[in-house]
Amino acid sequence: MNIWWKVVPYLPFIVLAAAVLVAVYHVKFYW
Amino acid sequence: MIAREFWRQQAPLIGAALLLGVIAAYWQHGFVPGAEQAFPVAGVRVPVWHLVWMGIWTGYTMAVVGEAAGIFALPYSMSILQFVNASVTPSTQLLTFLNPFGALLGFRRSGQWNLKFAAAVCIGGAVGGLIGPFLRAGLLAAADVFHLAVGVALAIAGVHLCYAAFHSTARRPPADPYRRKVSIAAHMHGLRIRVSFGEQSWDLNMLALFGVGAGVGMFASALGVGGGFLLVPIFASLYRLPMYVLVAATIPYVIVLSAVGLFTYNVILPAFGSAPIAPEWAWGFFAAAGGIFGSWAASKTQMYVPEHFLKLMLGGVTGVVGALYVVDFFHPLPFRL
Repeated sequence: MNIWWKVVPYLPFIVLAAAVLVAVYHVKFYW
Repeated sequence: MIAREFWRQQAPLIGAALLLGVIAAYWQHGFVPGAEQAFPVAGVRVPVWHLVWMGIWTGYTMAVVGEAAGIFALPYSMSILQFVNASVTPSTQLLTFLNPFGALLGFRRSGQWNLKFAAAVCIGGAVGGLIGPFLRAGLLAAADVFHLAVGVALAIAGVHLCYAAFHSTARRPPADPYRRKVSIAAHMHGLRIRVSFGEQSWDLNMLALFGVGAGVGMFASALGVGGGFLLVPIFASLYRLPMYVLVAATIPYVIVLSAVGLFTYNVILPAFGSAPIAPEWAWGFFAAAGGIFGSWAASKTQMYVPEHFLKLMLGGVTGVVGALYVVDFFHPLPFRL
């Protein structure tokens, strides 16, 4: 199986974690 | 296969939304705002990639659990990106208008489509979309009252997601309807409509559907969301409609409601003497470009993610944020929301 498909079940959590990081970056540099 | 589908069907839609974002920015402001120059209507500096990213993550995470991006994108725009004036409502409504098109095409291809079934609730949504913007311009004009209303909406969405996390197994459809072409039939007799799917059927009152559509539409268009966060639980709980049937009505509903809401904010409000509430068009288009990709990616990966745990987690986060908004209205919190 392609390595990418092994990541798929964790994808929503990876995306949410990335969203938190981007939000923190925005608050730090744009507020 | 997936790469071909993406390049043939999704990439043109995403490209068109990005292009419309650039065109709208030049048309509305004469330049493309972003990290350097603030979005004039929104009054905030934010890189364009961040708006696209907002569309991607809200569209992806919400579509994975059967919801739409608006209910996440609205508080994110308000609390993180600090888009706090009234224009946040129609700007998010542009996202909720464009976001479901990918899903609509997909459901139509699979046969989860019936305009007779969708008609009454969509007409109700159109009526609600005409009234809601007047609520936004009047009753919900103050920022704190609007925050309270968004908080209530988030709390409802949070409770629904947590509830669905425990109850979705029993109603989960067999895998077949998604894999082969299916058909949703609808027969009208008087004011009632009989919707059938395979051997199952539901007898619904069209006046009630209209009323539900109008009520949800008023509240949703006053906030700037698609209304799925209320309509889906009502259809699922009161009418016991399964998810694979109710999408035939809810997806067109969100599109109709958002379109009428946008029209009302721009055209009907000024026609009745109120000031129009202009959207930050580029904001909505850039976010929609990401949202289209996010919801498509969700439709491809939904079967492989732990849906229950995710629903519980997202429901918890949504509910807590909603509760904070509500508490902040009565007892101002020591941090900015």
